[in-house]
Amino acid sequence: MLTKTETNVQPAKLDEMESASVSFFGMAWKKLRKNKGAMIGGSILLFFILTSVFAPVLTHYPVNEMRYDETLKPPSREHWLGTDEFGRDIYTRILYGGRVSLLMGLVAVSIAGSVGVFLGVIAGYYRRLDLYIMQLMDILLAFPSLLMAIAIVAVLGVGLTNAMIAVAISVIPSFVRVVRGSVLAVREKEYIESARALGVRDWKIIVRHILPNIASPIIVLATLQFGVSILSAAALSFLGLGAQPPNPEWGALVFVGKSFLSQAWWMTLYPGLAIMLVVLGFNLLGDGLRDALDPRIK
Amino acid sequence: MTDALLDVKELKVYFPVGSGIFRRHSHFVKAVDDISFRVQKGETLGIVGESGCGKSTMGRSILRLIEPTSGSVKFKGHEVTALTKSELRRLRADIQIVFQDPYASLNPQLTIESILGEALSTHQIGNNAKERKEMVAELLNNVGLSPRHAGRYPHEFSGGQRQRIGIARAIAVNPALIIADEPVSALDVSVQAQILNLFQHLKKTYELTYIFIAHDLSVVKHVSDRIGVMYLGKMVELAGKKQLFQKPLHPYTQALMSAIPSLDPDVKRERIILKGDVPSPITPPQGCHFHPRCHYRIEACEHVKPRQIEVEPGHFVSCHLYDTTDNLTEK
Amino acid sequence: MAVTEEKELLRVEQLCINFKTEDGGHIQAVKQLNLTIKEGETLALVGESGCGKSVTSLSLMRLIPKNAGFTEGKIIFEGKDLNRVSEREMRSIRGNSMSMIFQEPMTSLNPVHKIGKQIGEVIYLHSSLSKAQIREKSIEMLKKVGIPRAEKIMDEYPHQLSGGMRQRVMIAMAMACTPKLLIADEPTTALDVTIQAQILELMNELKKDFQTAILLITHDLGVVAEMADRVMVMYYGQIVEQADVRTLLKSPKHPYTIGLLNSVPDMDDESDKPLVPIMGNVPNLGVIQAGCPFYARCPQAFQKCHLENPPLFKLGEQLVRCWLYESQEVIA
Repeated sequence: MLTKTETNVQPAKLDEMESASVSFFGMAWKKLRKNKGAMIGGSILLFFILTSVFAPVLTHYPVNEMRYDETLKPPSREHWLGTDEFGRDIYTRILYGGRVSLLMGLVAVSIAGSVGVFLGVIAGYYRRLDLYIMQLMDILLAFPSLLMAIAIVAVLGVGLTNAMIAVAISVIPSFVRVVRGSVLAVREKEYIESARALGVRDWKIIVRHILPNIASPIIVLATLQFGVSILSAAALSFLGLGAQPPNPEWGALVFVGKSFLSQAWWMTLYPGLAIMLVVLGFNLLGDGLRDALDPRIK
Repeated sequence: MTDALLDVKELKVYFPVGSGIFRRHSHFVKAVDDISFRVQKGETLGIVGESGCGKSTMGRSILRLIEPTSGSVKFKGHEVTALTKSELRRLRADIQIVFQDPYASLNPQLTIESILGEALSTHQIGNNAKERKEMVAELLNNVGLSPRHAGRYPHEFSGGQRQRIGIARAIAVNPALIIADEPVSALDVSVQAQILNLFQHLKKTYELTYIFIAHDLSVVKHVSDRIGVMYLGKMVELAGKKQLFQKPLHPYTQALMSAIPSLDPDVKRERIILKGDVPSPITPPQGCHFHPRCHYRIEACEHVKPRQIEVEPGHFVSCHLYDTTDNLTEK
Repeated sequence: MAVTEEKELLRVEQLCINFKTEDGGHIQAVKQLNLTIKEGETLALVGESGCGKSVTSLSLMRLIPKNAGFTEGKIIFEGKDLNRVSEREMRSIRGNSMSMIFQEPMTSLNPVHKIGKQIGEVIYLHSSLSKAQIREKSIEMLKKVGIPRAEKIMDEYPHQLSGGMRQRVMIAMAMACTPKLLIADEPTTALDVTIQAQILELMNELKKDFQTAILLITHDLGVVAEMADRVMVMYYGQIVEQADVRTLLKSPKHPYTIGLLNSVPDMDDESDKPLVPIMGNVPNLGVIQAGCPFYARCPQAFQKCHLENPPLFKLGEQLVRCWLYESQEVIA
């Protein structure tokens, strides 16, 4: 009764945007490619991942075989990074140790990430348990994370697996905090409300609408925590609480090298450098990801 | 009057202020405070009010996106506030909502096709993926977008186009009632008119009923059959459009109308400039919420809450000036 | 243009504003814009998002960051070309003889400082008054913009005030040094209508009291009708129509202006006639077209519009950038 319908629906002109459509993560990847720091960080990590995967190809020395005629040799043509007190090649041990260290980081971050995301989503989306979960996390956060990890190892017993679990637990609170905060921000968005208004089930809202939209901070955090976890795991090993000799985990290598610091500096320097580089790599990549995944930064 | 599509009675939505486990809720924001109205099938009820008057909260509480504190909402005779979770999900195919911010109301990670497809599949509309794809194309056509763009992401569209997508999502499930919450206030003027016309057009095609919430009185006037004016959680006046504009009764309605700048340089409105600001809804004034800013206030306004009075058929106002019964002395 | 008896305060000639883009090129946000403001006059710059109206106002204050873009053309304010004066001299102009208020009263006040300190700072920068005098002057200004209990508000923080009050404080700060020109960028857009009415009335009063010229940037034609003496309509970085407010509202000439006016539901119109919207969307800057930028949305477009961007044609006192008026005298 009010309008002529012919004038109402004009096809909105879309012709100027005929370019191929790009998803959010497609754009983020483009931005990441331009970020020098992230690319350097990524290259460092790629380098360490490849060297530890292809360790058997890259060296002809066995990892654990002791050769008493070769003990404490400084870096040379035969032993690029020198040998340790049992005549084992440090270069070889770092390559194999990378497997252990990276794996420890991966396992710790995966455990912490899944538990953290689960608890964070519960706390942020169903507000009823929020208070309890967050108070538990506050208690965990009240301890310095290394001290906490040491306490957990003390309870669980010394060893590689327990060290991983200890590191994971000490990292969980930071995941829960970030995830909960992001969920709280996203759940107020109108697209969540409109999904609810459509009658979409809660779990579907969480999986389809919330998780993809909080993926960015989780990815960034996971990357940064990867470095932190490797560092904590190494620290535990260095204290003799994690990987045990002869396991060539980097922290354990530094731990052993410490006793020979005055005679064989290479035993501590090179594994220490490896730890530093990997952690730096993760931090550079994490910072780059943070910028790339931030829609406000072009 | 009994077969109203929507019948809202004494609806209240209170939010506790400063909640915590160790604290009791001593204060409440009375976002919606005792509101009653009916919406007939096929009409457009406009709700107008300034920021913080509770109009958006009211719209959301009808769908129970925000749980009402008390009161009754009857939709097609069924009590909405008593529905279980699964019944509520089914109801939500019948009542839909269009949001203000076209940038926040679409999930940036999903393509237009999956946004609309989700609406269809949630309510088992369409038998298979292919059928739904066709329906999505038809929906896009109906809101003035090209089906070719179904595979695109929200950020590739302008504000007006996104709002069209939001509208397509709402009509996808064949609702009877659409609550439009400030659907054009984020848009450019030239695009606003397109969307307003689209609303009018869809109303006819889909036989829709609207509750149209906005702060812009001229927009509300353009689309509505009846208009309710809200102030601090109360519906101060409710009347047919003609009635309201020819004879605004509540002093707030009068001030609101006079405050809108006229486009015609020859029209000189007699302007009522209100004193002061809207008071905080946590501590609203005693008696009539409007009395500190009102030019006509009488003593009773400071102590006694005004009742809703039907001054003439269909014209309701909550103001002591029109209350002829002598209840002003009681508290 | 005829020389009028009022003194010219600001003259902008051939203003171009360019923004750098990611890929090293640049887009022109404002193209060869000319405008003049006489003393005590209100000029409204009207347009939709992205038309270049806000950028124009920022460039007058030289507030566009050097690394974001560059401006060309002359901005002559009280006889000085602002594009040539030193940064030091520019600072003494800003907030003093030329000041600005913004759309968001929530974010344009510093949340960590008291109101009194923020007003006082403006006065301190541009005068040699003592501390006590500054305080006195600040309170006087707050009273002038209609703030009740001004003394108390001096010691309050911005978050303790409502949006309307904050905008009053902004206006008090802008008017503290009795500027010759006040640039108001969407001053009431974030406010409710009843508060908007208060603020518009206040601005009109202050304008009379201080003889301040106002450059009003807005998208709201109602506000224009209320406030402006003259109006310039911008589209896609250029002026498409210019006239005194009455002529523009009563007999608009450019199809875009006509379209804008038809898009707004008129409160005083009883006839319930449908709105006639402008087709399509506001174009993104940077899409380079040969012809008239409004061509794609224009109901009256013809062949020539597609090929060549029209110049401004003169119809009496009205300027229109449209080929429909080709027979008229060309201005620029």
